[in-house]
Amino acid sequence: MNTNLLDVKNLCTYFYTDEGVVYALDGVSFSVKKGETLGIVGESGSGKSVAALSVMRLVQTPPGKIVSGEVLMNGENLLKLSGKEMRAVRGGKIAMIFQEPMTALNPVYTIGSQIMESPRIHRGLSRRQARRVAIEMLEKVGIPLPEKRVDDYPHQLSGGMRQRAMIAIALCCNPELLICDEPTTALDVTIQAQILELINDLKKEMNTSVLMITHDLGVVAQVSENVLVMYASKVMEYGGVKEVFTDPCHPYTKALLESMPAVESGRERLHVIEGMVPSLSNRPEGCLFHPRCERRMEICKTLRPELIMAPAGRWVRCWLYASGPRTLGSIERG
Amino acid sequence: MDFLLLKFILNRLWQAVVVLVGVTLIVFVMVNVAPGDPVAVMMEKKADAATIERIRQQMGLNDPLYVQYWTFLKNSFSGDFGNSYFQKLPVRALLARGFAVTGSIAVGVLLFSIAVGILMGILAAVFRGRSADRLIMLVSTLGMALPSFWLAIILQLVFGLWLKVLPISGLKSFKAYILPSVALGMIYAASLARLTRTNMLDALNQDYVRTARSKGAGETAVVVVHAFRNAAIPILTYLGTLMKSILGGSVLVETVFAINGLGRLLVDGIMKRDIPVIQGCTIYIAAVFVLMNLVIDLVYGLIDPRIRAAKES
Repeated sequence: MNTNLLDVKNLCTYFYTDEGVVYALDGVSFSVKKGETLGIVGESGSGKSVAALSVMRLVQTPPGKIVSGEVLMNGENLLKLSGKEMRAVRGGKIAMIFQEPMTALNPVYTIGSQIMESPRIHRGLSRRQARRVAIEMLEKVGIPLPEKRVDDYPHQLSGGMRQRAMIAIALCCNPELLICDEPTTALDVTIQAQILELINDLKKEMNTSVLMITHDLGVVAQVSENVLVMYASKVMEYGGVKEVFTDPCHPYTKALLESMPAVESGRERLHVIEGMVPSLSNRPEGCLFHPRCERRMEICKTLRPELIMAPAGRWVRCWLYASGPRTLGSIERG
Repeated sequence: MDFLLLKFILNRLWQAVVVLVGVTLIVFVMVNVAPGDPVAVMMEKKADAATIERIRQQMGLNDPLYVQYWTFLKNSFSGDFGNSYFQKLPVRALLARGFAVTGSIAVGVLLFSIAVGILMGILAAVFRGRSADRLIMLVSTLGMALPSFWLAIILQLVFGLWLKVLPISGLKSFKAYILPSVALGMIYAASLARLTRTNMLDALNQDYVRTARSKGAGETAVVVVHAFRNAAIPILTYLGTLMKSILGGSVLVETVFAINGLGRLLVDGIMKRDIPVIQGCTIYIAAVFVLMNLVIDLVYGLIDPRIRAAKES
């Protein structure tokens, strides 16, 4: 039986710009189980945010377009829904938290009225009922004096408080899936930990699934069960967080982990991945990572690898594991 | 909070008084340094020297300048600008009559430019880059380039003479306000459309608009509730400027439509050297500017809580 809440299959999102087609998301597949947290990691420009926006169908069109693939939520393909049906999903079944709490809140409305919007749209509550929900939610996300804060404007709150308000907005309709797009990047380290803990607590309390998008491997390790490593629009490695982090298969995942500072390692210099993420409108031949890869072979320069099941029991896109592969072929494009 | 707001308003009112006193001083000096004797002008060269001297005495024109200015200042602030030399009526009455006309046209212009300009600007922003956007921008460029008196004549020709649906002169019925409002308002509507488009494009690209969409808000709510209120500040500034210029009256358009508004009052006054009328009109226009600026400042605070906070601290 399929227990997946979300199944993303072979999702392709391209941007048609004057400089050419930007392949922001190219054949990405993943799934999220009920109550599970899936982390998506990658450098800037790897396509992780586009993946989130594509699930929400919030990619700006034009220039962006979801070209192919399926986004199945409880078996229903969100890409096939009408605009009106999709609006019922957004904020109702799937909610999203954004990176910049500074700019993601509307400066000219009170926190309360911004929280009230979702319950009024999705649950048809009256102004007064919605206000009560807003106060409850503010209390839930740990904002002191919620009866007073509900009438505050975003500029009257600190960054951490704003992100808490943002979480209140996202969770006030009990969504089944919460997408967090770099929720802690703009915050102080101490506040980061608090926010992650809050998301984790609320997730357990409300049995919500979470899609945690970040470039911070520490965040992923802290909150998620599974992780998807993305590089230049494609999935490079996909599996359980513990396994991927202790025994990475893909050279890119290895390099990423080595470039993370660790107290106990005693290394003086951090590992640096040479080169840059390729331009998504002008991608290299063969494996997208081969120009920067320390273990590249001849085949990597010419042929693009498929996502295959590596012996370690997880999905990897690398020629090193190509012997006896079990490809995801049907749902994955090369 | 309310106390601080009150303090802000009182502060601005005090500034307004200072500006207006300055205006009276400048007007007074200019009228006095301008060549020619006002009494001679008033009598249209029909009076002898003795009569002129007697009238000068009566009008206090032989008093020292500072006494004259003090009288002028006192009278100005009580709204008394003396009598028109030629129309033999208090300037106050003339101003009131002109204001009734110009003010009602200003309302028409404001309604027309807001309805057409802002709506077109929002549509252009929402459909940016598509043919609707291009068409609106083309028409608005045209609207900004057309002189209003020329447009007035063309409108008279088309709607008054050919189609015979609207009156071409006077202000006897509600319909008579339409053509002057459109003729005067076209340039403002066009600028407003461009300004609205720019600011809406900016607002629509902001993160909070994406947040609103992620909440499942409908497109109309996203555009009107979330984006427009943020785009409204520069638009409001422009509306203030618009009101300031329109309330001064427009000579050309008033002439074309045979309307006796403030524009014609002022220009007739200048032509005939009708000094009380010139003084009255100038001070009235200055007062309108000062008042409109105050109103705009106060409305800013209503729209944007950040401005309100900055003012209160």
